[in-house]
Amino acid sequence: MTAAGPASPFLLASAAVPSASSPGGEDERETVLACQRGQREAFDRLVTRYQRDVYRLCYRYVNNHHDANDLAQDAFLRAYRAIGRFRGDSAFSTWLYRIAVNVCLNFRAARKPAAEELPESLPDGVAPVAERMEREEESRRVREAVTRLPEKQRAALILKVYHDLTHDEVARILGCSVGTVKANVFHALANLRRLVGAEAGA
Amino acid sequence: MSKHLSEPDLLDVLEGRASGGARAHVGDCAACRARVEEASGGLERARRCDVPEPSTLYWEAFRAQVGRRIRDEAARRRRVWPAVAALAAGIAVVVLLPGTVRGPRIHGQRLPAWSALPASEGDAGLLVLEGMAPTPEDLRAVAGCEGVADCLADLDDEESRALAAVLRGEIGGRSL
Ligand SMILES: [Zn+2]
Repeated sequence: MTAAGPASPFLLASAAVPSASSPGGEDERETVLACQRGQREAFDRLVTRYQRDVYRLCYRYVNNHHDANDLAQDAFLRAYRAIGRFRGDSAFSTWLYRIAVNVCLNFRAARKPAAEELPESLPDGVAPVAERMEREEESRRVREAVTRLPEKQRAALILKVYHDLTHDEVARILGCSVGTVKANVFHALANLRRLVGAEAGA
Repeated sequence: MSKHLSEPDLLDVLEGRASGGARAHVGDCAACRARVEEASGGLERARRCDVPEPSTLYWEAFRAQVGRRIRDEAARRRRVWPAVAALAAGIAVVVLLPGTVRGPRIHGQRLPAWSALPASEGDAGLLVLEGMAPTPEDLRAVAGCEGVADCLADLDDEESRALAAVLRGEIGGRSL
């Protein structure tokens, strides 16, 4: 699942996830078929392959290890229950991400978010953070800012920027149009810039 | 100055895949240029942020936990299945008996669709169901659930479909 066209400016060196970003090859199709025939070890292989990606996706949603761990496990359990219905119309990773996103959305819907979610758009004048931060501190702030983005912007941003999926793939996962994905990514980036502030990225 | 660009077009500019017209617009329009720069700043920040990486040991434990949950679920299914089968058998018998599901009739007349069902004392179908369905004690013993409703509520999608398949098999194609 690599981005088509010009090299994507979104790809993060640290978040490059070849396991999820490469197309589901023959091996993977065989593994999925083996799962559908009830071979538990085949599912273990899929867990091994995707656990990191799914965990990271969940972490971006909830911004803490404990919940990310629970949600990632839930996503795999649901995938295991439903694998008989996976017909291979999309890549296995797309299907799995969709499950993971739904698990995260349900989790967030069921509990009051720790930080208040932003309205769909922010005014331009949100005060920037004036101090330059250490890398980890900045990282923490960005993660926190991501969790404050409106639901659709957050989902689109996470899948596009941190998992380097194409707009088409994100649209399939989120069940919306490519134009909507692009608009949400764009708004998310602008909001992130306002939330994290000018100095942090200087 | 032409109309400002939409967000999808602005994103295309940021990604370097916009048309010449869109790029030219951003070159000329300070407002659109500012929006692209702002989003570009957001992307810069997003790219510097990473998720703390758990240890290798964590991934082993994660895999093991997922495996354990799958095994637990499989064990639960083995407990619930006898009750599902008993339910299926009970329902199938009820459906197959003339005058129950196919015919709650009063005085030989088929009830109109909008009619209230007959009082439970007079409903032969319920008597049969009572005789055939597992008792609460049966359900508790074989499936660990308190009643038919609990057992049914415990079924996941796959089990519900399996129950439907069993019923179809038992009923032998007779329509419900
Ligand atoms: Zn403009």
